[in-house]
Amino acid sequence: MNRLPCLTGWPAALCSVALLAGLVLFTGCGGDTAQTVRVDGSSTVFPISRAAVTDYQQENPDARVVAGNSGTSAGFQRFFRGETDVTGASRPIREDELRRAEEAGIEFIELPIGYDGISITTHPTNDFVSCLTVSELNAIWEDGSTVEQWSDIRDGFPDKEIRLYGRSSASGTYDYFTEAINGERGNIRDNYNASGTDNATVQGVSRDQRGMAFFGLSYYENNSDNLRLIAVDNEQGEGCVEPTQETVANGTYQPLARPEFIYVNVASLQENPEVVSFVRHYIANAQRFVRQAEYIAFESEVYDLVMQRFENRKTGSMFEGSGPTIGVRIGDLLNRMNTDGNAAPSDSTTAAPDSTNAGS
Amino acid sequence: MKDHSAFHPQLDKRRRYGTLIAGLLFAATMLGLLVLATLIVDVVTTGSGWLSEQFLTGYPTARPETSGIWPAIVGSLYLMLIVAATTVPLGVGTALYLEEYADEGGLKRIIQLNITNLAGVPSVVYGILGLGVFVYLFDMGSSLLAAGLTLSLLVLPIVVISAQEALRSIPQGVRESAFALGATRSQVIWHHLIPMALPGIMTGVILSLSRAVGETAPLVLVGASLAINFTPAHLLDDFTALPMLVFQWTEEPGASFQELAAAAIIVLMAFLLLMNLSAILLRNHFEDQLAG
Repeated sequence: MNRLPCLTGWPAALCSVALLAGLVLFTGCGGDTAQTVRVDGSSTVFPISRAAVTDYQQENPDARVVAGNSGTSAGFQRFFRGETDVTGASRPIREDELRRAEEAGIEFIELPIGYDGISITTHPTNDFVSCLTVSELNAIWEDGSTVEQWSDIRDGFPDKEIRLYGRSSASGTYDYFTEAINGERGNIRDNYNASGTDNATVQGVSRDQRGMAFFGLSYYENNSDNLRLIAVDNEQGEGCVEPTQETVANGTYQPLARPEFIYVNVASLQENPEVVSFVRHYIANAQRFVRQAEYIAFESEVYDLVMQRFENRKTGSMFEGSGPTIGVRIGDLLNRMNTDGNAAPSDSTTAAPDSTNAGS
Repeated sequence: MKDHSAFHPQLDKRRRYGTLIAGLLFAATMLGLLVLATLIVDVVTTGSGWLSEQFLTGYPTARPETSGIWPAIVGSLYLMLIVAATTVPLGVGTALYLEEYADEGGLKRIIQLNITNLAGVPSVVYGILGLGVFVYLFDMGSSLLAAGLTLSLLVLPIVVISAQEALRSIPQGVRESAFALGATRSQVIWHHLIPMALPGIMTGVILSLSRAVGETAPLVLVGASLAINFTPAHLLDDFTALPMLVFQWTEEPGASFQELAAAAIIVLMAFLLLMNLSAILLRNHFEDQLAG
């Protein structure tokens, strides 16, 4: 019976673990989780938000701030459930999402944060393509495309097979690219190599001499030795434009440049003063955070307008639920922000302005 | 007419055949080891430069140079504790019921079939379940507890099956002798079956804990954080875990973050190695006890 001590010991150990777990759970319910600032949303915006979060944490070591990257759509879902205070989006909020926000009684402030470009690239040894027009890109990528060889794109290109690489439908990059190039979200041929991450897409095209790909501009900048950047002609008379910091920021690289946003829950601002000071810190240093994340920042004056929009607690979307909006230039954003409440000086103490432009 | 009585041993041919098979099996073993070795060498050469005290005790930030994995280490450890605390009683209990109590028949077969099938369900499906049930329905939010329970569901079938195997391998004579001496069923279970099955159960539990600690997909769906400046203070607190940071860092455009991911993988592998080592030691310990 020398086994006895061990076996009487075991059930007790199990019991104590279970008890301990129960105890922690019980005391846990009383914990002040309300003071945590929660940020989530687009994985494209995440590097910017992370820069903001860690910078804020450094200056306020006692503040509890967390950030995740569920993606734009999943992020909005959590946002509407009131689980998060701030959510990032690589496109303006869609109409169905506006309706869901209204049903959930969530009021939000929409704040543009920076610009991102989508780059078109080929293998570095490709020496015959340097620029493509939007209609050529459309012919290559649209659903049911008949382009199988490079020569199908333009006379003079070689009779070689073309192989396509891009992001899969889970990404905001896919949403935006298909909308901008093929006119409708999801309008894309089904026989291209779709991958879940930008890095996998980069790997694909940088090892395939016949390849062509689209992905976020910062991924080109980090892998420029293994890729050839293709300029885009939007057929509006500006000719071929390569995506650079300048051409994306001044709006000449179109249509493949898009603004990034954060959405802030108005109720959170009233309940948790930490959210207010975090968002203020975010906007005030946004230029630095955006550059650190290798995206393209606005001019300082634009951030002044963004801050004004926030301090005025201007709720609703300036895009009225149009979803991925193509060709939003800096000027457009400024106009929209100016005509959308910023011009009128309202007292910032009332946090419930009308939200007539939300939904409908 | 063939003469069957003339048997030709053909020993040379048989030996050659034997050597060939042994060689093929050795090659198969080596191929697996080679892949593993390549992986380890690659990860260690890429990541070891980043292993520092700052990396192990710091918090994840936006810059690779200042990033650390402390909250992920703590988060993974807590997740493991939650998984152990829930799967051991539930898993061993289920196995005991199925092996020692349940009547042979339709119900047992249905349960058994379901458990076996559940063991093969992809982890992302458990993630969706966890999101729907624990995060939303039970309103736990994206908390340590919600993630821990999701991972528990994921590995529970493995614990049940390995505990069943362990119980089944105990000779029927042990039960019969104990019953013959007047032991009750619970005495048979607590005094004989569990101690004898313990090495097998422990192996199953620790291997499934290793699996749970390495899972990413369920955590992504449940909504684990990535930038966090504290370690979880209670079960409903926000958290992060090692595979989450590895996953995020491999998606970054810059090369430094890729190396950082490799460094985090080294820590994760050390974690798993330590757990498997403890599994072997514990098993040996209990086996010695049984023998002694």
